[in-house]
Amino acid sequence: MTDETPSVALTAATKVYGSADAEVRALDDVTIAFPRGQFTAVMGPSGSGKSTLLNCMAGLDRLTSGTVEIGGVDLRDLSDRDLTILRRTRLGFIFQSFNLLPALTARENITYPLDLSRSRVDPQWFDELIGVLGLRDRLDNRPSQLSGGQQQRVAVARALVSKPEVVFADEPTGSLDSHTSGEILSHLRKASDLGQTVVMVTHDPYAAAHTHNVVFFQDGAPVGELASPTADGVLDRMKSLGADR
Amino acid sequence: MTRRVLRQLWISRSRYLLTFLAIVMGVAFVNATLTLTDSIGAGDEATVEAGEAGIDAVIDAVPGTPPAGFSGPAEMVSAGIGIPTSVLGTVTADPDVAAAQAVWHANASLLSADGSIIGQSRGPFNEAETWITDSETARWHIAEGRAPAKPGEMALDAATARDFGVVLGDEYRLATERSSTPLTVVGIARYGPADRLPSRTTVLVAPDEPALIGQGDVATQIVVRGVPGVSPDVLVDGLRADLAQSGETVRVRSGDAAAEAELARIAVESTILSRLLTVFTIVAALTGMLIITNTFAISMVQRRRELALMRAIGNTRSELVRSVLTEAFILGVAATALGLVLGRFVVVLIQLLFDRAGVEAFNGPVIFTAGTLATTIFIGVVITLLSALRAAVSGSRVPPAAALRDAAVDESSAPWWRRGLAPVLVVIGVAATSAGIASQRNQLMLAGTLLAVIGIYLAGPLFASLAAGAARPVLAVVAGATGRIAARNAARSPRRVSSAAAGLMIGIAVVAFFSILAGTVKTLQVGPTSALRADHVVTPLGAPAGKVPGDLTPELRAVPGVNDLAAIHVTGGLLADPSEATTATPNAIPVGMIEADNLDAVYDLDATGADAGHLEPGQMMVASSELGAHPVGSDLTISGVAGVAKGTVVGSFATALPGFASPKVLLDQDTYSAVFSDPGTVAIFLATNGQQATLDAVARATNGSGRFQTAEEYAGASSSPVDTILNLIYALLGIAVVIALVGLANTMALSIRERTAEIGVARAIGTTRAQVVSSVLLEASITTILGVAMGLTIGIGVSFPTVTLLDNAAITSPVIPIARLVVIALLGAVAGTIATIAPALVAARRSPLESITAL
Repeated sequence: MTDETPSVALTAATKVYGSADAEVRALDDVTIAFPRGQFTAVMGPSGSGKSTLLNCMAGLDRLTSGTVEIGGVDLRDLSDRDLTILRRTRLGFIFQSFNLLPALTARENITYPLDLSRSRVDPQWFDELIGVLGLRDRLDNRPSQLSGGQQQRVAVARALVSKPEVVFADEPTGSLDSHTSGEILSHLRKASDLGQTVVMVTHDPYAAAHTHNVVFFQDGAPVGELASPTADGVLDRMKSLGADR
Repeated sequence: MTRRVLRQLWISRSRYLLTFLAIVMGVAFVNATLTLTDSIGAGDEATVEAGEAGIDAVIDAVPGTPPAGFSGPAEMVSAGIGIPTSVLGTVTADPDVAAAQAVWHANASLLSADGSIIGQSRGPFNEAETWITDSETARWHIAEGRAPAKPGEMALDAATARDFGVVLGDEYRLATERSSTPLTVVGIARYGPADRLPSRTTVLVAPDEPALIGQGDVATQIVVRGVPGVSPDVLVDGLRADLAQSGETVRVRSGDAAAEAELARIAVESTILSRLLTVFTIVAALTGMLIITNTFAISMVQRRRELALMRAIGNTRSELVRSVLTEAFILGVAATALGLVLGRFVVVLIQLLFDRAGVEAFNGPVIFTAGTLATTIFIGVVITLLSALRAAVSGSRVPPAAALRDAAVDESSAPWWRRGLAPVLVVIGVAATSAGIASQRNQLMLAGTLLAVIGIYLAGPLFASLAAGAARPVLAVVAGATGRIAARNAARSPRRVSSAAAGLMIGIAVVAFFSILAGTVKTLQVGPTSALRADHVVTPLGAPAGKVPGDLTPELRAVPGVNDLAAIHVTGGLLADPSEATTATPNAIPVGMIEADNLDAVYDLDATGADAGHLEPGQMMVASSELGAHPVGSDLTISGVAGVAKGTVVGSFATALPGFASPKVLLDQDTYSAVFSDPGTVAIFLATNGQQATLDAVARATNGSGRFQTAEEYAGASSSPVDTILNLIYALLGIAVVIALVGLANTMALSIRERTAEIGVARAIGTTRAQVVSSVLLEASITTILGVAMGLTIGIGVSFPTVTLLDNAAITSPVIPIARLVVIALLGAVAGTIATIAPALVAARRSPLESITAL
């Protein structure tokens, strides 16, 4: 939080799908930064460009124009291989579902990004993670033997194990019940309170209420922010966004 | 409904492409092998019928009954037993007979001045026959020059003459079992409408050529032409009556019946090939069925979501099954049609291969029978439908909700009965095979082998789990997380891994089996080379028919520097006494004799009880495999062409001897010479001082009568017929293995497809493209190695019982060509891995986002 460089910074980011008549501007000249150590929610109605934003920030998709910088590194300059290694070492991912590799055990899933580059797992950090996330007894189970909440906790552990620059979460609680959702979100909040940058795309006001800051998106561009959000506050803003349309 | 199904097929055409390809390849291969089997020798029949057209009746010996006295050519066993020419008088006395002539026929090789064989390189069978002078009866007709009229003259078949540039006036030597005789070419001849008898070289000599007829008292056959107007049946009946009256036990057949027999005789090569092709057809059918079943099973797992959705919105199970079957039917019919066309191309390709190898089995039309069509359609349509039915029924059984929720990866393991049954079958099978070998009960042995092979196949999933488990720590060390995920993925679907490996298993098993068998048959011909202690060997020029003249042995023994030698004699004899008339057919066996002062110095016969080089008259030795029937101390009677030998078994020997068949009984020198009047040897083993002068002297003495080689050259000498056939086998098996590899690639491609989302996640969290490729390849290598290992196990395992079927004196276990098997295994493993490069690259090329959203 003392560092000046934001974890993620977009400058004049534009993403256009299709061409000519059928052109869709999913991101329209977006300039935004996600400060280090902050838990940010990106919200907006369907088609607002929030998922495209996440994919482009995560190096899963390329911008049509503009730049994305992760911890000061411009993604434009990276080859597919370098981009992959950046994802492995400096980013963490939590998807809505189908997060884990079914062939691997929970332990192997958690350490997978580190194993890929044959990096050593910090045993203290690993132990702390599985303790906090309550996975100690589940490490040798395969994903099919875990509940949805347990699977998502394994995904959280995997995202955090390499102490990445930023964790991207795409509707991480989309297929969980409200109690389990709350658990996952408070884990993410705790991580960010310890200095971990987290960017989460969601349409759930209750999920957004766990964050430090909410950014609202509409028609491919940010249209407002809400610091220290509550569920009701977020809901009101969402309604007004809907009313604008 | 059909319209919906057609649309469905079109929309998901990329998914069906692999299934379609699998059916096309299976159908094409089955169709090609069946067509080839039917077409083999199709042209021979017409050729032989035309060649033998002038002959109305043929008289020869009743098979298996030796004529009194055994005086005649020595080819008693190898070329059939002759008939006395005295019969000719009775035959010509019949008023229905217009012309009759005694004909001699023998295996023989034509040699050029440098000792190379004219004809052998184009096929394994070379023969000599006496000329039939009556032009209406004659099989052969002169195309150029004139017929051989007196001893020393010959005509050659036009095809061999063309291939070897033989022209009138050329001089060659004819090597038969009896002699080596110089001949001058005076004519070029054609057989019926053809330039030669199918697949063989024929040397035609004068009717009184002593090289072939010997004393002239026992001929191979008598050919008869009837008076015009007399039907062959009447002629044959009349001759039978005449000959029965004069007390001759001979066989009289119509020309047509004899032509049929002639066809069977010359079609040996075709028969061997057609049996081999039958094996390949079975291999092709099994591989094709496996691939089709496998592909359907996998594609149905992928469609579980779709099927579940259809169920959820109100389709009944039977509707689902019906729609899947309709798809399969359309797919099967289209693929079968294409496969039939493709099969025809495969036939042309194989014909080309055979032609390049000098095998003329396909000189006739391509025969495409209704049976071939039916079998092809069965594989392409019925098997496809059954595979689809099986997959559809299990697919439709999944509750809609479960299918919508689960990941679309087949993780089923084998049913309990299969896991339990497989080891039981293997144990019973191996036990029965061993018991069968020990007690010489072939049926028990074969049944046991079959059980064991089925057991190994059924145990595939078990082996797959074990292999994946064993591979994990290794791959984890070698390739880290990539390796671990490869092993885990293989362990997820042991059934699929094993069925993908099964195709390769069949291919490798057959390749390994034939390699072992060929290696073993080769040692039968040259003898086990490990037993050879000599440094040089002299072999006949015209093998297998020719022999080294007997007078060469004392000549070589006299060469200074030749320290020791052993001359090996082998010929055919009968294990019986013809004077004691019995109803039992006497057993023809190979009988041998060894001339040697110090046999141990040149050859390790592994003898007990006696020295084979110093047997006294009345003493005999038997091959150790014969000890059960003829123990030491028992009496034996051996009949030869010139007499009968009685003796007592004094010892045995365990090592095989060279020659076309290793002798089962060894006689002393004097008795052998008296009974067989055959001084020729099949090999002379020499222990020399190694000096150039000695070798030059031996080479000079041998020139023109034998082939002088070092022991290494002799051991490495491959008999070309075995090699030619083996290469053809490899060519055919190559196609089977390629199809198995396509099946493997197919399976990998499909299982990668169903794991698209997983790969997407793995890519998103930092797996590089190279790592995706290597993980897929490593997973495939587990499958491949499993297939290769199971194939080798089966191939080697089956060769043991098969070798006991060869029933040879001293070969009791197969000769395993380890280097060759290692090459086969490596090639199989590498090819299997290469086959999966394409699907691996496809998996790696997709962007992670695309893969994740494909969910």
